[in-house]
Amino acid sequence: MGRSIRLVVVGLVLALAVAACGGKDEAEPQTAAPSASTPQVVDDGSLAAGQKVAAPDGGVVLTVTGDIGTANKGKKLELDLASLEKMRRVRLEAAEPFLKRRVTFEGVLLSDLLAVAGVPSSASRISLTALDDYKVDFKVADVRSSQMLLATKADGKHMPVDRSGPIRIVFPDSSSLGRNPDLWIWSVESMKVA
Amino acid sequence: MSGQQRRPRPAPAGTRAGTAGPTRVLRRRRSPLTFALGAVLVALVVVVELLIFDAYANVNRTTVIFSEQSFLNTTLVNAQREAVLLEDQIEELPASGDLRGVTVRRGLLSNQLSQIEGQGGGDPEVTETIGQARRELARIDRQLARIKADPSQATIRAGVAAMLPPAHWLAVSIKQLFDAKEQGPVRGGHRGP
Repeated sequence: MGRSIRLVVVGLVLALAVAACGGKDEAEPQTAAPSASTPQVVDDGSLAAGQKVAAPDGGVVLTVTGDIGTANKGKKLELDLASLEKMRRVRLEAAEPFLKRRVTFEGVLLSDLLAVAGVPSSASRISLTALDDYKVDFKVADVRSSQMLLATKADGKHMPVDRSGPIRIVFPDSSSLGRNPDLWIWSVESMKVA
Repeated sequence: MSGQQRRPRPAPAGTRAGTAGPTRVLRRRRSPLTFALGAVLVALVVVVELLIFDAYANVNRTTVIFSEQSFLNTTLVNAQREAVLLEDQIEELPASGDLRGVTVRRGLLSNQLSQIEGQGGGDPEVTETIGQARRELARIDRQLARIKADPSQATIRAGVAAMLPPAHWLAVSIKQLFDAKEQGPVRGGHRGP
């Protein structure tokens, strides 16, 4: 009996020793190369927060209403593709949950759009509505932290309505929100800030 | 004590030297039957563990199938809605003159068809219906292009007359596809694992 207990104790000590040797996490390299799935700035743009947004010349693709500080038509902010593409543009590669393949998207970070629209820090949520009346709500805090993108291009091309365009929400792979395909709202038409 | 050797303890009275004393537990010899029963017990434990593991794997597989089927059904419902709305908008075009509205609705329907195609997983029924739906949409596109080039009431009326049959076909056939697919898993799960 005594020998068995000794064997068990020795086994446990050995197991702990092995676990301790293998359990050390590798420190992440500080200068890791940016991956394609992380939003990368492709153009700093000429339209930034605090600047006046001109009324659109082309077809309006997004109307922003509600608690905003910048407007160009009454209390609304109307944007065409050209206005959106004047903002800081980023590119990211993401796993499109419906096409089930990786797609390179280009567009503006929704957080940048909120800044250009003059959304105050007191705002708590935004409601996005699509052309087909589909609606999705986001917390402003999530928008600011998740790097979600309002994409204007997929694989280098503008998106027509029958390709989920002209603008759609896209999430980086790292975003936990992006794991819910219901939040990948396409053909976004309007945004209401509250 | 160094250099000394312990003397063997004298055997208790009534025992032979070299045999187990009364304090020592004798090791019982296990019969082959005991070994066989032990082996059967171990095998049973292994089998039960495997069955539990298989059950987990099945639950996972069933969840994936359910999720895919559910998404396909939702997309079919959305496509039905878009097809009905497209038919309505085409019907109202002479009065509304909203060509952009019809074009956008046509785009939304086409997008839903692409989603169905993506979720259909090569299902021949889905592929066939979507293929025909694309041909019907092309017929609508030709009329929309004509109206865009000449937005007179006469062209609009002629265009609407030509667009309504394909729009109606779309609404009906997508509904039929939905009925077939929605019943699919209930009929006995003809989808493979």
